[in-house]
Amino acid sequence: MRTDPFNVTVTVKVKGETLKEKFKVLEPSDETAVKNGPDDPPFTPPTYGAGMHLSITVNPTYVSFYRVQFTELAGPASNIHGVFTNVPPSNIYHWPALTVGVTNNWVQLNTFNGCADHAQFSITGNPMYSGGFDIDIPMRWRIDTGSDEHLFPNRLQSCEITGSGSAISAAISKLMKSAHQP
Amino acid sequence: MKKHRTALSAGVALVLVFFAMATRGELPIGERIKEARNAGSVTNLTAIYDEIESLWPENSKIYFQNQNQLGEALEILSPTNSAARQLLERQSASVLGKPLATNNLAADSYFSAKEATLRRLVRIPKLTPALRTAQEIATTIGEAQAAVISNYVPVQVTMNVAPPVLPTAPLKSNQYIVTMSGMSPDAIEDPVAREAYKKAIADNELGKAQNNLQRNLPDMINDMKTSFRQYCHALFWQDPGAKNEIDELAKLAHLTEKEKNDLAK
Repeated sequence: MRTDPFNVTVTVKVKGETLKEKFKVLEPSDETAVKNGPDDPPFTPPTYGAGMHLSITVNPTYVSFYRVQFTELAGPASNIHGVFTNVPPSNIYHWPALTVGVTNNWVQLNTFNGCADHAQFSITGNPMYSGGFDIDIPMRWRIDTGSDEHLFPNRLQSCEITGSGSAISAAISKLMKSAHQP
Repeated sequence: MKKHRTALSAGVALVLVFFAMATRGELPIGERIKEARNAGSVTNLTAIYDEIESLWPENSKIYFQNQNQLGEALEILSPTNSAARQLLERQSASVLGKPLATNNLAADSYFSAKEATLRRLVRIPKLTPALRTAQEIATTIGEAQAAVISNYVPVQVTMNVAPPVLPTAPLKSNQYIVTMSGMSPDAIEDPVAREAYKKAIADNELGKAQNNLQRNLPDMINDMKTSFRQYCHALFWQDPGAKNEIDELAKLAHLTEKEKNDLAK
């Protein structure tokens, strides 16, 4: 099955009449997100963190990606600083493929080219002080099981703790949306 | 520290597994099927077939996904290779003989593999007796119709699942614990929290599988019914005696009276 952009002509013949219609087949280009519902409730000290639910839409929306599946690939954190340097980098590792063992975390888009995500982080420890990390998540898409995988723009997720003592706040951002606690 | 060691060892183990696979030439099954197909090696495809069979029933989802790929490869080789054709016959019978898994995670793959196998049997007419093929198609349509949930409301699923809040045990001195959605359960030290996270992931996967199945079934059933009707028309034209089986076929496929009458036309 072809998954690259190409032109196709559909020809219909009815009672001697021929009608030709040209279509351009497009591939997913980028994505946008809106927050879905309230942010995650605050954590109880000594745990701090933030989270949000996202509704993601793959563009262009005038093309149906009904049969397209997306996945986030595993990868390490970067820009680890402050309080997060107390934790080995191997423990700040985004590993979605491993979370379901030998399968993977492919998600099928719905009829509106959409899917959902839950972005959340937390850190527990004492004393708590500022710090953060980023995860630049590589993305792939494919058409149903077994077809070739294609590149898609990365998703940047940033997690940040600010303040110290009793004035700690946490923030997470992904796909240009963010959640803060408090 | 134990958590750190656990996550680190999981990472090292993964690297070692890939390294070992690479150095021993053990590519994933899908890649090896492609290689064997390109080389026209039925010997290698037979070995892969045995390996895939060993996945049943513990890894039924992967079993059906791999059988799908193997069937495609054998169909390509079978016109010019009798050994490939024989293996395809064996492989088709094996896939069609598997029951619908009680594990819903595999249901989508189950129907995909069965549909693909049946289409192959239709395309390669002499692989199985025509009436038996018709019965197999009817049985699969019937199973698919029984699996449809009317007025299905999709389950809310997410790309990443968030782990439960940690820790459940007191922190040690200078101990910091980080969690994030999409992390590996193996990186969670606390066994209770780790199991809760695994269950949340499993529930999410089940929801995805259920959503996919309910979304794909109606199209699949319609396509199969169309093919079934065409197949039966050809069958009854070539073998009018087979028409005596029409009641049984309609019953197996859960056809309506109108659909059954269409078969007989």
